[in-house]
Amino acid sequence: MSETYLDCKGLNCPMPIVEIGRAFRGLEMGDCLRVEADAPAFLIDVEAWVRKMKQKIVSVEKGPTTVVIIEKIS
Amino acid sequence: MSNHEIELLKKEINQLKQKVEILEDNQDDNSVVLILATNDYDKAMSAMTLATGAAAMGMKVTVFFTFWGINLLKKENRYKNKNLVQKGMTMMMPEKVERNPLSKFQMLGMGKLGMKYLMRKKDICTLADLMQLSQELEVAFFACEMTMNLMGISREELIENLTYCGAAECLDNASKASISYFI
Repeated sequence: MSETYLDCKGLNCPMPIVEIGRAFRGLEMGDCLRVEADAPAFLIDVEAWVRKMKQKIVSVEKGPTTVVIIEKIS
Repeated sequence: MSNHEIELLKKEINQLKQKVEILEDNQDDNSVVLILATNDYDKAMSAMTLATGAAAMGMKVTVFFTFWGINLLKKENRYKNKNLVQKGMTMMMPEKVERNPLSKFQMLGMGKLGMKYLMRKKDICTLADLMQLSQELEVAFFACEMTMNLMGISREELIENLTYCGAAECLDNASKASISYFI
């Protein structure tokens, strides 16, 4: 049940989801990934990625950057 | 229920199983086929952005490069065993992926320079980066043999890890895929 941080600040489409996909490969079931990014479509893309990959969004924090915590559930 | 009836049911179940297997084999709702027939930098970029995105979403992605799209797979220009027209064509086509023109506002290269400037400023992946990334993400690159034959392009002229194919292979893949785009 560890949490890993992934910095996607400054990255543009499609790089954030590519990086998330890569990071998820190293995670165990129940682990969380904390992703920080500032691309305009980041949140909507992450939501779509999570739906497609059957994972779970634990929390979303919007500010100057968007921070999303995703849990590996499948 | 009599033995005979049970036998009939068993037979029917087996037939259904076979049908389901065939359907499953034909229906792959997790794959994307992109047919890239142009070497326009902007169009190729949106195609490769989709390809890398889909690969990151766990989808099986195949990109078919045909006609001018083949030029995106160029490693180096070669002139051996080509006739005059083919040589001329090779000379006119850019060798490096990054040198391919925009479909709009190319303006003899000025527009392209402007676009590259904006991309650098906004930290947007270049086409070369996206092509390399998609190969790392195991996107399958298919090259059209007919185009290669037509333009006299040899396999040595193109990058590694390509599958060479024709229309049938392309259509077979596309008919199983849930998404297919022609760009």
